Amino acid sequence: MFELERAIGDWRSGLLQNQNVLESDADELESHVRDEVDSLMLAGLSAEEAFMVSIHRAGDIETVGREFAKVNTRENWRNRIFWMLSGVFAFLMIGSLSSFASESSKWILSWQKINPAINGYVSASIQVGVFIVAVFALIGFCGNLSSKVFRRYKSFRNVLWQGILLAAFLKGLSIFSQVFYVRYYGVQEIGQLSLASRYVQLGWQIPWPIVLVGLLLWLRPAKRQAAV
Amino acid sequence: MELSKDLVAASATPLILTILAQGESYGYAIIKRVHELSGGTMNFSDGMLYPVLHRLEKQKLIVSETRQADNGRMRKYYRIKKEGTQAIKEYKQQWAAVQATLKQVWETNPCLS
Repeated sequence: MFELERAIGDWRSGLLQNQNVLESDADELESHVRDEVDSLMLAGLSAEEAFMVSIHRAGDIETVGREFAKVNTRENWRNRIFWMLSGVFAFLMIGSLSSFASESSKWILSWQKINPAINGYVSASIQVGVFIVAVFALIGFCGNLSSKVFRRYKSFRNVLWQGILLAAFLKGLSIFSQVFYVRYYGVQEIGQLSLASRYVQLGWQIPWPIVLVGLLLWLRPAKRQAAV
Repeated sequence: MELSKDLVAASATPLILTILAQGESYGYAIIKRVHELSGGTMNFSDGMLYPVLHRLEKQKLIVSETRQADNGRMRKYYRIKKEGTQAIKEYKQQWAAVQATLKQVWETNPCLS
């Protein structure tokens, strides 16, 4: 059974997938398609036929998007910078998540009187592991879910605020956990723990830029377009 | 006969400005008017009209206003500005010049093939 509202909604979100088409452009085109559908239905077409004809007449999204791109240059740059800053924000979030995991594991292991060197290796490995998992989870999230999830949130402001609150909460817990494990261990043990976690970080900080370059190459736009 | 893409693109601006000079209008009504006037020879997809309107607005030849239409939907209306009326005059001169030149060359040098 054909549902006009749903069809228009799907068509509109397809339109917005094109980064050159702004929300206001989509509003205007949607209003246009609705007018066209109304007039075709008055002429005797079914809702489905009227919809198909209307979107065909509106033209294909790629071509229309290219024309919008020529007009919306300033907005497009704003969008790009917005996404760059979102990346920085996501990076900060992942950083605070992984350091929280590491600090809290340090606290738990010191509380259990585990050997400080082992504690250092384990907690630093947890930090690296959480970081890697979070980066890949984010990539998967962006690819498959972002539009659905973003639509569920009322606005981007909500996402931002919840992100900030979560990061602050995790940071606060990390600081507390640091205070606790410093108190459970002696000075000597803290030194051993730090040394061990530095070794792990050394092993991570050399491959990390290579991984980053690999990710950038993997996600580069040219390849995505070729795949389509 | 269908006009070439380049010619359609070049003539779209003066045509849209002139339609708006006849009174405030919105995208859907403008495109209907274009199809009506050209009898289908100016075939550009409906979606292409909007980037043109937005460019004219950026060039400050027209202004837009979003408000509720009679059918309850929000609709963006466009109105021509003084600068737009001035631009129509310039376009008229340009197109007349093109036409005169082509006419001259076609009438004095008939194609022999």
